[in-house]
This record gives sequence, structure tokens and C-alpha cells, in this order.
Amino acid sequence: MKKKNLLIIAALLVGVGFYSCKKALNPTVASVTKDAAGNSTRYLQSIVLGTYTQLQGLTANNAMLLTSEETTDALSVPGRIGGDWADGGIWQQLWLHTYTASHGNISGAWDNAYNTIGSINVTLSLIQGLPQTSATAYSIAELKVLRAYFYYLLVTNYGNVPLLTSTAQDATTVTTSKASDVFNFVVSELKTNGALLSASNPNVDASQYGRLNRWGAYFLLAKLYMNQNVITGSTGNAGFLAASAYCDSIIQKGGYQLQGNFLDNFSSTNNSGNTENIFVIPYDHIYAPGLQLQMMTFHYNQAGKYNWGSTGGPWNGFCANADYFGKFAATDTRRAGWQFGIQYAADGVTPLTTRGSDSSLVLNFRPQVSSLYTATEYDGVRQQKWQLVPGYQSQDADFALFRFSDVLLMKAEILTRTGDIATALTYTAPVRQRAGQPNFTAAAFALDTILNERAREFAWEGWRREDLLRFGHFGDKKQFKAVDADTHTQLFPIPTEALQKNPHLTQNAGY
Amino acid sequence: MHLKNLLKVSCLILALFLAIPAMAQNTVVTGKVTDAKDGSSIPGVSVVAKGTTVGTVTDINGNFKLSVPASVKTLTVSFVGYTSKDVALTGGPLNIALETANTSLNEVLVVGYGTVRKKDATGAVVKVSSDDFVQGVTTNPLQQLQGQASGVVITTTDGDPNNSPVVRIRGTASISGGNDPLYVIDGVAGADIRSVAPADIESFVVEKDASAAAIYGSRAAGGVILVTTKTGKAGKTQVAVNSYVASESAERLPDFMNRTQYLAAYQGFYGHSMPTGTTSTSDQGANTDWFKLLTRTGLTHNENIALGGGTDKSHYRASVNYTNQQGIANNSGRQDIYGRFNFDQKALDDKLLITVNATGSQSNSNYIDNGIWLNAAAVPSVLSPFDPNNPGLYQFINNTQETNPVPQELYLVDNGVQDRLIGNLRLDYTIAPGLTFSPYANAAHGTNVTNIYYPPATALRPDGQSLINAVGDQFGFVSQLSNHGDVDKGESDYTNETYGATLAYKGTFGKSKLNLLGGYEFNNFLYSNFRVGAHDFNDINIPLESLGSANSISTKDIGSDAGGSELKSWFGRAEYNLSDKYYLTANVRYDWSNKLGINNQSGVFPSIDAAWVVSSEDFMKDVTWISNLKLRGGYGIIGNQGNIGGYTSQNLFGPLSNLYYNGSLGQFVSASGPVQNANPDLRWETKATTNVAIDFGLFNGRLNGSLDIYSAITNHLLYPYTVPTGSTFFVATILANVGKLSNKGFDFSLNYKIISNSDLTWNLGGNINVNRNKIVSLSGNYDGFALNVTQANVGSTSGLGISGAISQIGYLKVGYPIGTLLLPGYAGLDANGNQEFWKYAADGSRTAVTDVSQLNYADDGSTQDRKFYTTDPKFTYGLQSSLTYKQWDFSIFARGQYGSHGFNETYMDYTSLAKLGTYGVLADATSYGIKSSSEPSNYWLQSTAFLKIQNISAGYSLKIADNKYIDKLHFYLSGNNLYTFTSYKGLDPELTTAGGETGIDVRTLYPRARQLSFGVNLTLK
Repeated sequence: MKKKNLLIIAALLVGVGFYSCKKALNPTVASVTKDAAGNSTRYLQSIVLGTYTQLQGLTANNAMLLTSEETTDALSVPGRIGGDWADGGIWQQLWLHTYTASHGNISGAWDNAYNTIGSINVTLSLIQGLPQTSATAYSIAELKVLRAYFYYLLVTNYGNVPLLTSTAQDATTVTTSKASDVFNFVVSELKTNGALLSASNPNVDASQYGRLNRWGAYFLLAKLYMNQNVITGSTGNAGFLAASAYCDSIIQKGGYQLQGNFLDNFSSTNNSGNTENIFVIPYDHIYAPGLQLQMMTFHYNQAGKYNWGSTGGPWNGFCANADYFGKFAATDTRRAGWQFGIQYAADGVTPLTTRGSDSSLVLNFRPQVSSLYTATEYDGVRQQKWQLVPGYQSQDADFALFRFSDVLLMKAEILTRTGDIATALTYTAPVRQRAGQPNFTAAAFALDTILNERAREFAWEGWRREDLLRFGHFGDKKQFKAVDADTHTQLFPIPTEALQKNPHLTQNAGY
Repeated sequence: MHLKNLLKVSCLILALFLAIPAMAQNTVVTGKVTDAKDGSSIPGVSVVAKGTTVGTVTDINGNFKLSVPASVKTLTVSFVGYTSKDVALTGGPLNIALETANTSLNEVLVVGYGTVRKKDATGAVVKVSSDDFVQGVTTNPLQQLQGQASGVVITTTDGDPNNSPVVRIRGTASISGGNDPLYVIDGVAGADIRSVAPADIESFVVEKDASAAAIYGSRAAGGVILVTTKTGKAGKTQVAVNSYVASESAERLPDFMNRTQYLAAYQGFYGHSMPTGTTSTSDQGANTDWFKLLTRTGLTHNENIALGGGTDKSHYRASVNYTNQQGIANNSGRQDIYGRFNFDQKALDDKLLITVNATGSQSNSNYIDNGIWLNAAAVPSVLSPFDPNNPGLYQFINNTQETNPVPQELYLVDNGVQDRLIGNLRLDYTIAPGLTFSPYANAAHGTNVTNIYYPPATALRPDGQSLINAVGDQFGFVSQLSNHGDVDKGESDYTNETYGATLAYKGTFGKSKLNLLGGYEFNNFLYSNFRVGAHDFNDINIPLESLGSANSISTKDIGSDAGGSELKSWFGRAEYNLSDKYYLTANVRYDWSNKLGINNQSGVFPSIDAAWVVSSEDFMKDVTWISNLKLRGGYGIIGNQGNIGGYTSQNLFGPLSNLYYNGSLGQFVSASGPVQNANPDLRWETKATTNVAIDFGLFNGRLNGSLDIYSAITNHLLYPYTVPTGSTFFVATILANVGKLSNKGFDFSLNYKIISNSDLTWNLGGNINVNRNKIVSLSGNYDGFALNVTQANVGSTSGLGISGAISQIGYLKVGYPIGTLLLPGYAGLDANGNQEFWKYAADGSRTAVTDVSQLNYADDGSTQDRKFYTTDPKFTYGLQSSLTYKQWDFSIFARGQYGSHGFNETYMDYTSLAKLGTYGVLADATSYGIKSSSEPSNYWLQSTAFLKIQNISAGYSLKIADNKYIDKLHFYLSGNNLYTFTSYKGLDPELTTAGGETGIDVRTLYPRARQLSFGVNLTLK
């Protein structure tokens, strides 16, 4: 009936004269213009904290954490017999260090980082244009620390990157900053702004959960200094000593402690009461989907076991080979983070089988990866430490980016590097103890002992690449791969697409 | 037919004068004059005794009675619009059928804000009348236009009855700006073409270039299609009842290995027989033809009734139309119901003409998930749809890309209801002779409700009795959500209002004629959308009816938006004609729209064209075999703003798709952030068209044709550029106008009346379009930033192990047409049956490799390992022939394309024998002998040239003796989409011409149907 009225009105208007209208263009209800966004405190909060949702893409298979992990010995993605995971060789290129500037995952990781940095810069310019209060000052500091985290990821993976810190800059003409300049910028930002952030951990102040607080900023500072020599080309122990101070600060004042069980840090309910996680990406299968690692790693036929139905079944891709899995002692409780051996249906009794031409074979995950191109369906052990909620492809477990156990192992590493092995062992002790393992002895202790312990403690958490670089083992021989001919792959290439969009960028050496 | 009525009336008047004198009578001759084509009686026909002045005219029923001198042996029968005829007296009553004369030149074409005689038309305008429409199943008006007009290419993505055809007039002229033509239905510009019932259409007029379309300015770049609906005719009320019923079945289905073939191929490939068992990778003892299970013979029926009539002061026509189309996939289908009322009335001493059109329609669509077609291909025939351990349940099929397509087809609920209302009021007031003021207003309102229900789970029973025992998401549609069912319900509505007025002048000055038109128009477009998602239902059987029983509805599940835009325009036209020989026409439109960037909100769209009727010159008088010869040419600029949204130019903050965790509240809450870069320079695309043409009629109009040569350059081409993020841009794309695209080609059409006499007529017609599309540039400067794109990946293929760069085969490439593919070169099979591909060295030499990971997939021209291939046709054509013999009528209509190619994804994926044991394999796969895994290469680029027998019809008109009630009764049998002549191996060589999938024959296409129909046309008087 509404339409009838409209017609009548239309007819009347024609009779009377022209209907002319100078009405301004009203914004859509779903989106408001930048000007309107600044006028609501509540809305502003949703923008500042909403920036953290960008982190939900960080564990995607074409984002930074896994792409960097795939270049190491921790994560194998072999092509499978029958053509699955062939994908034009992109996974093998990462394993073999033959990646080029056109690699899609390397470009995806870059875009993810700069899209987030762009959002932060826009939001910063919005807040900076408002009347300044203590709340706006806090938001500005917090956003700058979050931006620093993304520059940390960029500088450790790509080295020399464009430094965009304001919407006034022209991203199509900005030139590349040297890694050492990026390093200095990030350090300075973290020092200035980290101190302004809350010193309460989420168990004291729940509102800090899933956000960067002061200890998150200090954790990043520790990481930066730990890797100073790799990033800037400096030598000596100055960086390690600087890192040490930030580790001490977190250990003494942060109020964090190890969880009793290693797997607690990856449970599907780890968003409350966890004392170990310093900075996490909160995930939820409905509200914040994004953690799907198990889909990458489990076998197709495990779909029924986890109630994924059929097309929802996992893809049988990511795995770890015998060399890496061999680092875990049989008694190490962290080994429970891996799936190996015969796999059963939901009833726990009926063995699952493989498919394809050997469809009668029992599904028995083995650590051996027989080929980089035509591995069997059951080659490689599978990751399961992030707790699954059956029935959902996206998981509820939160992804811990910064953990307190890392602070302890960083401290142990610094002490080892500076010659105090006895004290170093006091920092490895709680980590070893929790894993059900005896602590190391000074006699059988070397720097690489720490590296191996880190491999067990942080498998697939995104640290392996920079750890191998820091310990000087990134280019080492590993299964199917010889020693790297040169060091150019220690930095990712600047993606071709980024160079096309901004020809003023400089490609890293060797690409 | 309007004109014919006018003529009838005027001849009646003439008859009054002619009928007065009569000489002494010797013989009385009686008879009846009818239209040779449809058998309808013709009133007012002049009947004169040859060699005398004795004559009369036929009465309202076409009958005449005349006394003639005994010496008279012949009568001359003549009527305007018909070929005169001499008829010998037989002594008895005469039945005289008159043939339609070559009246095409006197046809009236509806053009923007007016009409023009075809004879006077100067632009590239084609009319397709209801006489030309094919009989049989027509559920979308555009089907009536398909193949009928050269340069108007109409394709459907697939056979889904709910898919709207894609229309491309003279090629694809835009990448991101939209290519749809502007539909003008009875003067309502921008109307939904589906708001008009096919049976209500009197004619289409297609304006192909700027010279005709410029009066529609910024909305005309995709061409303009003007639809005129039928109106009532003065005289007795006529009731037309039309109905057809049709059966539909798949014209072609993919041919996969049956059980016997599958097991034999398995044995041949692995050297042992396929293990039997109950898992989805073992031989379950079944022989399932998945495509057969998913399809059916559908039933379509249509009924429409129209009532029309009027006086010399007013006309009316009312119609109701209902169509129910089942579709060939189970659980799919569509119903349309239309009501229409057209009315016009003269008033104020005939100075005022009031015209009203009102129409309402509703479409109910049942959709299926087209993923079923992929699954039907992917699942081997040796698997059963049912659980081998529990035949009462559908089984899981656990292989990566597959799901069981049968429950997927049957249990997904996905339907839509579209309501549309259009009202149109127009007044034409004659202020002074030749001067008419015409205010008008119209409004279109539509709502679209969508209901989607993904049922939970898994253990679906084939009897459909119970959906309990849910243990997972069977389909994985929205698997991150619940396993108790998910509902997505939405409603969107729009209201478009138009108010305007024109002032028109028609004058004659000696040998000159001058027509002028000026007008103003205001358009207001408003829309709003709402959607809600809900999950975890207590009652999983009727969730759409009980959203309140959902246990989970989050803020993320609720969304709404609303907005609008305005368009204000001034326009004008001048037509000058000297001696009906020399013509000059100019159109201009000024548009202002607030959709565009603040710096570019207005534009002027002009056109000018000229024509010379050579055949009217004195020096052509003696060339009698040429009845018409006209040269015409024009140039103009039209705009395109189709896909620009109301707020595209603005910097926007909006809700983000994911929520953030608020630790204080302990829950996830809505997050907001910047979502769109500002573009104050955003403007419409412009298309500059040049057209030169020749129209000819030979042998007294028996052979007619036109040749149009054209060029259309799209400037300010819209393209979503990826821009570096981090500072100025925070979203990685910006829609900017810096590119350029061209379409060049010619349209040629020819119609020949081979035989034309009272018993037998035979017409033959054909048209051809040659179009060359080219992306000239995608680079330029936007607001000081250099945007530089030389190629961009837009389309992908897919399959097992095919992702990333190797799947990215659809490209936009500067210098190439839209629909270009980038593919590795196939080098044959090695001794082990592995596919080999050419790898090129820097010096141009090549070696065959079996592993595609050794190929360089860079797309920047740095390697030869992949090469560009174009897919678009060298030409498209349509052919038709109609034949009438006494009461019989026959017609055949075919259309086709030549020189086109398509990437056959189905053959790429399912010829690999390595898939045996897990996947379906094509029946002819063994002849390929491919033992390695599937990889995209130019091997799968196949010719998609085709010739489709689109329609064959045969009809019979019952000879009805003078009858009080029945005027006409016609029966017909008709077949649509009967057969396709092609060498293409895929489902259908007719691939979509739209979007990133251009040239890629994906696996998720609904098969097209062959339709056999029986229909009745009944006219009551």
C-alpha cells in the first residue's frame, strides 16, 4: 500500500511542479564517514580495540607466522601421492629456500602486515585529531605498540621495509628503510609507549586480555635486542644484555608464571585464568574464526572423528618430519602435542584407513617423510596441541603469541651466551620440569641445547625462523635440502606486487 | 500494430465516401478479406472492380458486398500496409488474403522520450517485435531477444532457471563499472527487466550506440533496451488466452565412468582390483549415476490471460500471467506471477492524453547449491548415496573435496521471493499545434526476501523423516558455525522515484521538418538491507519459521544498511529533416549524481548523427530494384555508473567482519575500523562511439539488410586498483578511473522474403556480429599517484592440488581482450603417462618437464613458461527461417559463435587416472592415458564454437467459420535448446561472458535444459 501512496504523491508532484531536492548524501547505516566516527567514545573504543581483530588473520596459511615456520625444519608440507598439495611447488619452495618475489604466501604475509599498519595509522590520525584526554593518550600508545609488533614481524622476516607511520606519507613513493633504521624506530616506539601502558596482567585486569600491555611491549623489546645482531649486522653482546634487562623486568614485575601443564596454554578455554600467556590472539569459532591449523594438518579421514562431515574434512598437509619429531624424548609431555601412530575413529577403537589406491591400509602417521613431492598420505606427524572443539573448523583455542616460558628461555640463552651456564640452568629448570624432563647438566650443555629446547617448546608458534637465524643454523642442510649456497634467503624478498605498486622500493639482495 | 489500427479507422471513414455512388448492377460479388499471416479479418479494405470506378470497402468483420457490371472479371483489393492484389471473380464468395507489404520503413520505433519512424532513424537502432518472438518456453523477457539482433549477445551463466541472462551489446565495454544495458519499460528507465511478463511485450528496441542512447546520458553505456508493452485496440473487447506446458530435461550431462568402466580402469591402472568395502574409497558395490540422481524431467507451464479494448478516446489492456518452472535439478525451480494494467485516455478536446501503466509481479525462486555438480563429478560411481552399514541413512563421503551431493541437493533450503511494483503516469498536453508539454512520474519499488537454511548434520535419512542424530555439518557450508543448523535470512528493498517533464515541438517548414525536445528529470534512488543469521535450533525442522528457537544469534549475525543517491538531468534533442532525404539528429544530456566523487559529479553526454536517403534522390528513380538505400553515421559519448555504489567515493569506517574480545565483559563484541579509501575524483566511465552504416531494401523490399560498422572507446575505465597500504591507503584497493578499453566491429543483418503469396510465405533471416575487444590501458594517474597495471589475475580454475599461482589462469592483460587465459604449454605424455609441460630457457629453447613446480609462474612477461590465450569468439551469429502454408506455420531459429575457446576444467580434473579409487573419472579418460595428477595447461583449452538449434516450432491455426465468440485458435509444438553442434567436450560450449570466469568452464554449472512444449493461443471476441 506504501507503493500506491508513492504513486499518488508522484502524480501530485508532477502536477504541482518539479520536485527538486538538495538533500545531502546521508551515510549508509552500515558505515559512517571518518568525521562521524570520531564523535562517539564508545564507537572510538570499538575502533581502537577493533584493530586487534586484524591479528586473527595472522595464523592463516598465507600470513607471517606459518610462512616463516615453513622455511624451517619444523614444518614440512610435502606434495602427496595423487597430486594433493602439489600447488605448483609453492610449499617446496619454502622448504628448499628457493622462494622468489612472486611467492603468494610471502606477498600475503606482507599485505596482511601493511593492511594492519594502514588501519592503525588511519585510526591514530583520527584519535590525534580529537580533544586529547588521558584515554586518547593511552589509545595512541597502545596502537603504536601494536604497530611496532607488525614492524617487528616485517623487520625480522623482510629486513629492509618501508617505514610508514602516518597517513600523510605517500605509500606509492616511499623508499625502503634499512633494517637497522627500522630496528631503531621500533625500539624507540616501544620504549616510549610501552612504559605508558598498563602494568597489570589480564589476571589482575581482565580488560587487558588479548591486548598489548607494558609487559607485551617489554617482551617485544627483549626479542628485538635478542635479534639485534641478525637484524642490524652488529656483533657482540650489547643486544643480549639489553634484552636481559627487559626479561628481568617481566620476570620480576609482570606477575606471570608457567602453567602447570604445557597444553593448558593451548586449551579451548585458555582465555581466562592463564598465567603464562603474555599476548594472545583471542579466537572463537563463531565470533572470531581464523585458527584452522588442524585443517591443514589432519588426514582427510579424520573428519568423522572430529565431526567435520565431509567437505569439512581436513586436508592432510602440514606435518613434521622425523628429524624434528626426533627432538622430543618419548617421555616429554610436549610430545602429546603431536599426533603419531595409528589413528582411530571417534569410538577410539576402530582404526581409520587411508584412501586412494591403498584404501585398505590402516592410517598410521609416521615421522618419516618419504618424498618432498610424492609423500604418502601417512607421512609426517601432525600437530594437535591447539585443543580442538569437535564439529567446528575454526577453533576456540586462543593463539599465544608471547609466552612467559619464552622469557625464561631467552634469559637462559642470554646467560649462556654471556658465559653463566650455571645460572642459565636455573631458568631452563622450570621449563624442563614442566615437560617432565630432567634439567640439563652443565656438562652436556651448549648453546644449541637452548635452540633444541626452543624447538620443543615453541613448535609452530612462529619463532623457529628467527631462532635458527640467531643460532646460525637457518641455511643448514636438512632433509631434501643442501646447505644454502648463500645467505640471501635469510631475508624474504620484497613481493613483486609491492614493487609494482611502489617502484621506489628496493629489492633485497639476491632476488 | 498501433499504426494498423489507425489506418483501419481512417479507411473506415474513407469508405463512407467511396460507398455512395453505385451504377446499375449486374452481378453481386461478396467476399471476405483477411490478413494472410494471422487470418484476422481486415476492415476498411478498398475493393474496386478493375477498370471501373465501382468499389466499396470491407465492413468491421472484413466482409464486403459489391455490385459490378457483368464485363468486370477482376477485383482490385488494396489496403494501406498491404500489397494490392487482383482477384479473379469466380461466381461464388471470395476469400481474399492480403499480404503485409514492406512496411518496415513505416514502423514506429520507440526511442528515449519519444518515437521516430524507422525511415527517419539515424542511429544504430534495432527493433524486435512480438511477431519475431519464438514460441514455447519463455520465462525471461530477454530470451525473446536472444540471437535476434546482431551485436546483442545474450548468454546465461548456466541452465538454472533463476539465473538472469547476461547481456552484452557490442562487446564488454567495462571491467568494473557494469555492462548491463539500461532497461526502459514503457518509459520507466532503470526498471527491472524481470518486472515485465514476456507475453505482455509488444516490442524491444535496442539502442546500440551513443547516437540513439545519449539522451540517457550517464546510464547508457551498456546500451539501452526499450520495452513497449501491449496496449488495447479500439473496437470490440478482445480476450486472449495463451497457455503452454513443457517438459524439460538436460540437453547434455557429463559422461563419467559407470561401475563396469570404473572397475576395469582401476584394474588397468593399479594392476589389482579395487578393494571392496564400506569406506568411501572402496568399491561399495554400487553403480550410481550421480548426475541422473540429481536431475529430473521438469515440468513448466504458463497461463496468461489478457483483456483489451477501447474506443477512439481511450484504450485499456489488463493481463495476468503465471509461470511455473520446475527446473531439471531436484528441488530447484521458479514461479512468476505478473499483473499489468495499461490505460490511456484522451481529454480536454483531445488535447490531453493521459497514460497510466501499473504492474506488480512476484517471483519465487528455489535455489540449489551448484556445488552439487562438482560433487557429482568428484564422487565415483562405485559409491552408494546411502550408508553401506545403514541403508536408511545417507552416507558421509570423506574424500577431501567431496560431499554426498544427494542430501546436499535435497536438504538445503535456499529460496527467494522478489516483489516488484512499478507505476507510471504520463500526461501529454497539446499547448498549440505541434507543441506538447509532457510531465511524467513513475516509481518502482521492490523487495527481495532471501531464506537460507543449512540443515545440520549428517545422518540425513533418505525418506526425509527425521534429521536427528546430528553429528556434524554434512555440507561444510558454514562449518565454523553450529552443527545444529544455520539460518541466514535477509530482506532488501529499493524504491526508485522519477519525476520529469518534456516539452516537444514538431514543425514543418516547406520541405523541412524540425522536431525539438527538451526536458528535465529528477531521480531518487533509495535502498535498505537487513539480514540476520541464527544457529543452534531447538526445533531443527522449521527454523525459518521459528528464529526465536535459535540458541545462538550474535551481533555478527545481524546487519543492516541503507542509503541512496540522486540523479538530476537536463536533456534535449533536435531532429532536422530536409525532403525526407537529408537528416540531422543531435542529442544531449547533462547529468549530476552525488554517487560520484566531489570533484566529478556532473557530466555532459552529447551525440550527433546524420543520414542520407539515397533512394529518394531523383537519380535513383529509375533504379527500381532498389527500394530503399540509406547511409547514416554518428558520433556520441555516453556514460556508465552502473556499479558505483552510493558511497564509493567516501572514506568509510564500518563494522569489521570479526569481533574483538572484550576482557572486561568476557565476551566478543563488535569491532569497527576503516573499510574504504576515499576517492574524491571518482567519476563515471565514458564511452565514445562512432557508427557508420548502410541500410538497404531491394526488390520491392523483399530483401532488407543493414550493415553497421562501429568503434566504441571506453575512457576513464573503472578498475579496482591494489594500492600499497600503510599510510595514504589503508584498504588495499581503490576504485579509480584511469584505464581505457575499446570495442570495434560490425553488425550485419539480412532478411529475405523468399516466397510471399496467399498460401505460402517463406522468410529467411540472419545476423552476424564481429567484435574485437581490447584493453588499451589500465595505467594512469590518480590524484598524483601513478597506478600501473599491465596484467591482473581475475579468474581461477580449481581442482585437487591446484591452488596458488597454477590455479590463477584468468587474466586481464593490456593489449588483449577481456577473457584472456595464461596457461603453461602442454608437451604431451612421457613414457610413464605423466603430463609434460614446456619449460623455456632464456634463449627461447624449451624442454619438457613433468613437474609444474619447475615452471616459472611469473605473470609479468619475464618467462615464456605460460602464454596468453584469448577466448572470445571471432563472430557470433543468428539464423532464422519461418514458413507458413495455409493454416500451418513453421519456424526454426539457430544461433552460434565461431573462433571461441574455453578452458575445460572438468576434463582437466577428471581425465587423470591417478584419481581412480578416490574420485570420479570421465568415461573417456582412458583414451587420454594421463597417469599424473591434473594440472592446468593449454591442453584443456578447447574450441567452443557452436551452432545451437535454439528453437523449432510448428503451429496450426484452426479454420474457424464466422463465429460469435472465437476469433482465432492456434496450437503449436515447440522445442527449445534442441541440439548443439560443437566439438567441445564439456557440458556446454556457451560459457559466460561476464566476470573473472570468462573463458573458464567451471565445474559448478547447472546443466541447460532441452524444453519441449505444447501451447494454445486463443483469442475471443
